[in-house]
Amino acid sequence: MIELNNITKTYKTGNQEYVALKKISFNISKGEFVAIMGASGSGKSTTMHILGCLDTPTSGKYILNGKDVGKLTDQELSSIRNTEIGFVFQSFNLLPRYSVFENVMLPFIYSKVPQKERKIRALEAIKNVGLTERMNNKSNQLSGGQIQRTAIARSLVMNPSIILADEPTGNLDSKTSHEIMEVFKTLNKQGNTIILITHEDDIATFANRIIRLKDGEILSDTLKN
Amino acid sequence: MTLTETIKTAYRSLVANKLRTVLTILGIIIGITSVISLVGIGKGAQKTIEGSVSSFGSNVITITPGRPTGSTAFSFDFSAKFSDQDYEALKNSNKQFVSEYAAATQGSYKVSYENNVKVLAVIGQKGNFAKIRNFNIQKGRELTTLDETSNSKVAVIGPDLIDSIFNGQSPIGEKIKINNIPFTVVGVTEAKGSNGFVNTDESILIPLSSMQKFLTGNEDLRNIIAQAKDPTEVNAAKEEIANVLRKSRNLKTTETNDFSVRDSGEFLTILNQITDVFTIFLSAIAAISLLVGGIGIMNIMFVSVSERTKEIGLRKALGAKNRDILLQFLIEAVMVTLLGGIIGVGLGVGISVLISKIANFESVITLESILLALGVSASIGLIFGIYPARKASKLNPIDALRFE
Repeated sequence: MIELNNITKTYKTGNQEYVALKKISFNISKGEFVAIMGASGSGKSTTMHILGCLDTPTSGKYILNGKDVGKLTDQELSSIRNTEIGFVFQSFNLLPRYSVFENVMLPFIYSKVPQKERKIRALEAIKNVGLTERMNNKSNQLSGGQIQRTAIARSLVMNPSIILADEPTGNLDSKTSHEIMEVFKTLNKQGNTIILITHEDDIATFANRIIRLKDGEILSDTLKN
Repeated sequence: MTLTETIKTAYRSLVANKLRTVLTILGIIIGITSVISLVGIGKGAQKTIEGSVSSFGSNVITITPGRPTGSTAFSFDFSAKFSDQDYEALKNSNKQFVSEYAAATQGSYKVSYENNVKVLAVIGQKGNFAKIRNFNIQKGRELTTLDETSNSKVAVIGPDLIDSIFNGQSPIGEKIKINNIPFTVVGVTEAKGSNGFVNTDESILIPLSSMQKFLTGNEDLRNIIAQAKDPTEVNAAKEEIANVLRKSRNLKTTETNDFSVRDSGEFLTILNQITDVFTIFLSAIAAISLLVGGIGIMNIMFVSVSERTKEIGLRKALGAKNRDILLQFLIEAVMVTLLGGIIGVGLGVGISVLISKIANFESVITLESILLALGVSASIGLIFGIYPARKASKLNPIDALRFE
């Protein structure tokens, strides 16, 4: 489903060129739960941006569901992000002053999903992460764990090909972190493809496959038994 | 993203920053309020002037003493005077194009009846003044030649004075005091309405000779008015008047007229010139306040964009296209200015109604001026909102999400 072929990403700051990714290649199939690990500066964020169609590679090919993402326009990338990818970020996941329900509904306003279906799907996703009772709470009335659950529910509503979580437990205590990881694990068992970016080993152990990056290159790519 | 959703989103962010929204639109409110009220008052003033000048009669010619100075037609030398000799010369001339002449001198005097005291315009007149100026008598009688020759202390009063001086009672036969000199009221004129500057329904007519003897103490004439026989021959009548006056005032052929002869059409033009200048001047002020208001909006929109950089990043990650973000911020700006426009129209209408009540003339508020004001305020939102909105839409989602 995901094919990365010799992906290179270089950033230019003034005259200096900085290579963030050096010819990285890997495939991810449907239903996998992959953790991409590495220290800061290893290139894991860049990888996540490219996987999430937030950025395009300098060279190399990224094929998502048969589409060559590198050749898409800004507009097409927007609709891929909308329909194919569900994002869960480390911070600023929710719109302030919007309720859980409204936040979960947010991706729909940029989609062509019929009005009737929107509410049904949003309620189902909220139920899936166990927030039905908090549905009408404003985002400032939620705990860190509830915020992340809301973000996960939002990532689910469009039935994306992949759920891309960028340090989703970075702001949480370890107990809540584990609860959130259990949610991801359950979603994976339900058939969702999940890509997790993290630098914490105990978080990465929830995944079935761990790709370690260092200095823009793949250090190891291991499957868990 | 549909328009309804965009409007809803914009509305929510405006409500979230109520105080800021109100402060932002203050400039627009002030600008639109002044435009609406000024245009309303200006048009109302113009309409009343036109109305009163036409009630004046289009064939009325006003002759004022003094050499016209300056380049504008609107300049009077208030020290210049006519003498009775000038008036007699005109009256006794071979009237080819002029049918009637009348002379008048005006002044403001303290007028009292019992305990009521008012300062009012008193017109001393002789000749066919009432006929030329359309003062018709509704009660009592008009002033006669006998009143004039015998210096009678009699007065014809405007209808508004029945209420303001006589407490609603019939004034005929009562004595009013003008500068403490008693005058007997012999007649009441019909209502003519205010002309925007002077309420003629409050004026007092007395014989010119009595005015000269008891009030001004001299023999001067301020105005001579004339009526042309035929409204289409007003220019010929004016020429005739000028020729008689030049002779009577002993002007050499090289000298210019030391008086001016104007018909009511010219007065209309002059008065319209004044109201136009007034309107343009105040509209310029209004335009400046709208410009400043617009810059304020742009400034606040920039603040809003940088404050909400993360929100923009999140929305883009969730699939918002550049166009969606552009529209969201643009509609926000337009909603702010349009709201300001609506409040401004409301205040402007209120102010012009209030002023027209106080100043006693009708203000004219047209649907066009309201639509224009709303259009202008929406355009200000578009013009000054587009740049910040473009900036927002061009933000890179990664940079926007990382923004601290």
